[in-house]
Amino acid sequence: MTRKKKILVAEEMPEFDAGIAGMPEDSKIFVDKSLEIAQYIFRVMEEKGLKQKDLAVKMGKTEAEISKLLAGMHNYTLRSIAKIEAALGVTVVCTPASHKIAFPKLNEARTSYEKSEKKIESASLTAGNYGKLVQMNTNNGFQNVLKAI
Amino acid sequence: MIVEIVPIQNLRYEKVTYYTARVEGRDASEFRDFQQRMSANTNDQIELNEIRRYIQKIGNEWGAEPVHFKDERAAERLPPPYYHFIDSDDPNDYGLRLYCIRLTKEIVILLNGGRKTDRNPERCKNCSQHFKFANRLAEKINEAITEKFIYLNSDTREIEIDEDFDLEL
Repeated sequence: MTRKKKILVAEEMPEFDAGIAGMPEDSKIFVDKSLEIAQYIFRVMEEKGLKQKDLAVKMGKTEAEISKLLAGMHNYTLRSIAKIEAALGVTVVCTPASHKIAFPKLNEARTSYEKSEKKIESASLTAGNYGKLVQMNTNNGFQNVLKAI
Repeated sequence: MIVEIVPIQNLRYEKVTYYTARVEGRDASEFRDFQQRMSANTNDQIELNEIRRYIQKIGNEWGAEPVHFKDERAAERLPPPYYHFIDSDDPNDYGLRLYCIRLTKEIVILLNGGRKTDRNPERCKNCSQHFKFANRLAEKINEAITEKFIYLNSDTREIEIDEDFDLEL
């Protein structure tokens, strides 16, 4: 016999979205990056089968110190991220320069893509040449980026 | 007291459906009350918005993975355990706490909280009642899930409750 379900009356909270819309950009970036970094560190630890204890050994710290680091008693600093990178053997923070070294193909494709973007910007976008430009942009840039990825 | 589970219309994201709870006889639901109270002070508001952003990003992009929630006995809390609010010089200021119940990676109930001023939430004048409420509700919901009065639908990412069942704390 199928049981009858209670009807749950939903509530709208516009103040939630309004609050986020009014946030300073740096505050949003802080939240977004902290989520990305945490997700990545924990995923790498999971993939490598590492527990908090193992990370502590690799970083030359006590488990309590690692626990504090991962549990938010301290914000991630560049130094703590560097120690995590060394311990896990992965890059956590990617700068344009490190990106160039780690992903030369992607960088090459990006340069090509950016060049074609500039061509589009400098060309006059009449109805006749718009299609050609989009085609060129697609062929020269974005597809190469996709291939490289 | 009877507690109703309330879906939040605009917090139904790609990866997570958020709910809140309303205690019978109270004007505001728990999460609405939290937002209203924390909007009154500038410092609270900055942190409140960062918690809102975590909720949004977890809902849209990451899913309610355990790594983004700190265990608080039977319940959980936001902000994530790796977040530490740095703008306060007061060593007894642990920042805002929003207690919640992470039922699955797709279903989370957002409750209430306040600014934590003691290491032990049970001793904090701002958080104690919300911490206890979240824990009592989490235990009650877990019991109801075991007894099949509450069902977590992973296809629709919804909480389904038997028509005749009341959550009584």
